[in-house]
Amino acid sequence: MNIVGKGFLLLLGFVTLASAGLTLWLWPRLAGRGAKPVAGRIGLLLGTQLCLAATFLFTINALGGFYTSWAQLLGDSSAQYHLNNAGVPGAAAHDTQQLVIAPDGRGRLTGVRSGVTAQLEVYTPTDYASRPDAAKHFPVEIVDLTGYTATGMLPNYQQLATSYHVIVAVVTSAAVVPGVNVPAGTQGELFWSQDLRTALTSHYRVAAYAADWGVAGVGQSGGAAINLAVQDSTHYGLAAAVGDWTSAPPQDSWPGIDRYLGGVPSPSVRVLYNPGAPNIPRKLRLTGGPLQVATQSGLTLNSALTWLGASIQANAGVPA
Amino acid sequence: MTLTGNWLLALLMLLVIGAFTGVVLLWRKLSGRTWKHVVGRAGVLGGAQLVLVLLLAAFCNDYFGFYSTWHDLLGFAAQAVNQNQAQPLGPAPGAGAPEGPGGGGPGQPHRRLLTIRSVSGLSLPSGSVPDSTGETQNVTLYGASTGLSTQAIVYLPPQYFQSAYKSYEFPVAIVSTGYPGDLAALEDRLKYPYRLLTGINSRQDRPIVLVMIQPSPSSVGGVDTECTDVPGGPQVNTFWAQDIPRAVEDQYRVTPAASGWGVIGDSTGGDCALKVALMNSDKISVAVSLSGDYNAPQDITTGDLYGSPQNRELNNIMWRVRNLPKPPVSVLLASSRSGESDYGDVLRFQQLTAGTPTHTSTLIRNEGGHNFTTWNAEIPPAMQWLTDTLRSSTPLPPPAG
Repeated sequence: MNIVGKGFLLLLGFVTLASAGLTLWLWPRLAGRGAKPVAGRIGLLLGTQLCLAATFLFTINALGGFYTSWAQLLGDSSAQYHLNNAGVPGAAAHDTQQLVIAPDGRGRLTGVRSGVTAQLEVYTPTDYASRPDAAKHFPVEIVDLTGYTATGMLPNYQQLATSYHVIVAVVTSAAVVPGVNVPAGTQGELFWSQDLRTALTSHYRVAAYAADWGVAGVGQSGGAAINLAVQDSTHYGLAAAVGDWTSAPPQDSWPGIDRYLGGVPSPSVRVLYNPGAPNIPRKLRLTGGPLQVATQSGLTLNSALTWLGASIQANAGVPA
Repeated sequence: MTLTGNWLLALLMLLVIGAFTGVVLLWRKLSGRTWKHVVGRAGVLGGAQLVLVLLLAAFCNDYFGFYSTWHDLLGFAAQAVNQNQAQPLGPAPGAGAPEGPGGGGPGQPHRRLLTIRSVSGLSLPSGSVPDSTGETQNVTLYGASTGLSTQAIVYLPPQYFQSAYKSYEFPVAIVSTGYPGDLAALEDRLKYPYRLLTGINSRQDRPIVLVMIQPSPSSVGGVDTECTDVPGGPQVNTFWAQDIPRAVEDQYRVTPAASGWGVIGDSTGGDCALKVALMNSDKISVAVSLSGDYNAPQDITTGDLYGSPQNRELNNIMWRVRNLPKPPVSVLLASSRSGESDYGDVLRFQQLTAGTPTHTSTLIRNEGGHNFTTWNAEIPPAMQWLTDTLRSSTPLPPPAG
């Protein structure tokens, strides 16, 4: 009989009920004085209780799937096992391989975790390879231009990298990559926080702490930048959003900045945004507390990157 | 009176015996044929049965290591570690010089992300000396980013105290119970520290640091969170993948590299191990799931954790390996050919990840169940696999002697 089978449990339950019924029915007959009726009472009651105990224990066991055969319960089941070992130390070689980058800093990232592909331009400070800085780990400014066609004069990224002692990585792709893992959509947080960070870390001497990582974007990618710093403060400590940065569909901010901030302490991050955008999350309109909000009307990409550079430099080397 | 332990069992046992005796003694008084007597019989019999059920429930709770405190059972968050205590983490990074462990300027307050409540050795007949048997520490971990906090037991292996290893940064394994699960069971029943020590001494395991926890942080209380970042709620996934490593790295000489961070657990602890590694492979690269679940459980103990069916899919291990790229992690999945419901899932997971950056090892028993006997048999080979797969970023010193 199967130890977790319905038949067995039903039988136990039936026997338990029957024994209780029998006890009530036989009660008056065992009400006499003397050893025999007392022994009868004890026997009947003991039987009833044992039935109940068995029913209870075997039902718990079946519900939890604890002992699924009599052999296991009695301790004589086979203890044989087979270990098929495909364990590979350092599975993180993929972190390096996902980024193919030429010496001029132009490359292509195929995110091993997100599956998202993007083009990269990486600018290092001019003294990146020189002797005094050869051991330094640099803060990083990500310029998120995914889904954005640049018009007009682009910032001078090389100058930015050199003057603020940061590594600047410009990320472009045809479609915007959101700053969160969109349910049933693009796994943007995996891309920005894990793929891009591990790829840059395995190719460049970049700093490890979130306070050394800033991200800026324009329009929807600006919204992605804000989402990264606010909703993933363990990877990005600063964000700046230019233009109409609240225009992305709501699921690109899943579960939403206000909702997210309702469940966590205020993150220690700094954000700068264009206050002219509509639908700015309520909790980003407040200032003060660990989450530092700055606004600048008519914010341009250039001034956003300058702010990031200055703020990151002040943070440099600090865990957050 | 504590929920586990002999006092409660003894009290309930006395009640059972008392009720039994009471029924036998009251028998004659209730032997009449009137309805009052019949109701009286049913009442005393029912009372005796009820205390018996309570005794059995307390016994099962002890035996399977479900709930260790009344707080756990009744679903209150542990009062000693509420969010207010996790909060005094110093000022914001506003003034340009944020505080931080080892960082910050002079005079900056130090964020305490881990407090040690007590220190002890392993209870071995030969006695316990840190540099030969290691040390266990009861600690509280505070989550800097999530605001959650939890009780934990840290085991430092003997090598941690040996001079040859003084510059070695140890790999770390987060070890979890199931849900519900008693934290002390990891030490007493599954004997992770003792097995690791035995494995190290027999040269089968490499020395690592163990951080033993329950799947839901103590501050969350009696909810099975399945290690989920609950939309608008506790961010338990982030707590595991970011806050625990940060607090442990802040306190102990351990590696910060993802290659040196692993998780192992049974039942819900196994779900968590696998899910957290798949979703956070930039920080945790090794996972062992003993009798874990693969399909984002939702039941009376979890409530709605996911907020939407699509977000539940993102938390569903099998959905992830079917629909998303396979992240660079090494996992060991343990199950049994007969007696466990997840065997088919293990085979499918292995098949779906073959040839991908996710390397799947399996530990398959002929027969097993969702119980300590099965896990006790699986843990020694699983620990050997785990400690062999984890890598520090610093070289391992040659073994002494």
